[in-house]
Amino acid sequence: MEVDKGKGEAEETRKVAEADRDTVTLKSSDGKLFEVSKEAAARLSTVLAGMIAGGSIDDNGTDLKQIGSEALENVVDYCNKHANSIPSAALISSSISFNTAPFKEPEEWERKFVDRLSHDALFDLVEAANFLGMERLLDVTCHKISEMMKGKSPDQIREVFNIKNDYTKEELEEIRQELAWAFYDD
Amino acid sequence: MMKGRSLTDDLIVKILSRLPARSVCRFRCVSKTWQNLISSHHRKLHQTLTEWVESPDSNLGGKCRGLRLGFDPTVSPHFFVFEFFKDEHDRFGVQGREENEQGIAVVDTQGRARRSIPVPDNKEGGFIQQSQGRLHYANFEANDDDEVARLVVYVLEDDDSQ
Repeated sequence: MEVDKGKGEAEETRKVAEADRDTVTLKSSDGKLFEVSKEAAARLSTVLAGMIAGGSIDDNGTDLKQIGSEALENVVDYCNKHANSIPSAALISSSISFNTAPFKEPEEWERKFVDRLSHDALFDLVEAANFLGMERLLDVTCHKISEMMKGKSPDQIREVFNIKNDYTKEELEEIRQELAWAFYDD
Repeated sequence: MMKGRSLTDDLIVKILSRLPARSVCRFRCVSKTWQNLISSHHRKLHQTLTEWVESPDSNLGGKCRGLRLGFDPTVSPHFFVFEFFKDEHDRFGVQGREENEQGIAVVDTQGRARRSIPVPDNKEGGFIQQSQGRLHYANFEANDDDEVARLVVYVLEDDDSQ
């Protein structure tokens, strides 16, 4: 929904939002406030849906201490801009319990949405989506990370995920021999 | 060079489940933690990780044209499924097998531990697929006029118990 973009923009937005009650205000770990469509938030995030239904939404900004402002901005952006084209979180989770729903390839706009993110921003967003129970956003971000991993060596993966190699030289040699076939190109 | 970022195990598993088997197997070398993660979640990763590969026919006397193996590389390097076959003119000479028998033969890469699992309806023309970590056998049932009446699907529940 469009809000007046007049003077005192932020204040105005808050007032309109609260009056209409069709947005919720979310507060990042670093104290920034973001408006998100209540309808979209409830459809796309099982956690926000629960908070809205349970009345634990704070009009002055619901604290999301686990999520930084950049990630929260991306979450809100995803919800507000694209809510209409995404199936609801409830629908998706019911199909997951059936365990046959294949991952639907990211749509063009979803691909663009994650492609523009830096490495750090992508990892922040995957954690935020996971925390908020945003199944589709989680799928799309995980898909993007898996694409980054294809064809990479174990050394490169350790770098990406900040992992310490805890194998001894002998152990590593043994497992490498066992898995020699996996070291050809993807 | 980008700075590394760690993620929780459940996110790692989710990401790995999107990767081809070859990548996932290679990443068992990343660390013991990842090795354990991949091994313990092989069921979740199963669908991605089942590959059809060519038969190592040196073990099988060269009679196995068209025969393929499936395996789950996260569990063990042993191949565990032979493709369904039927015997008409080309006999698939898996040792110990009767002619004109249909079924799944199970064998490991060393060519040991062979055994066969007959198909449920003992008819020709069925096909086997893997889905959700299980083998499915399907065939058409015909009515008296030899028209296809319905598709029958069987699920191989547990490879070891059959």
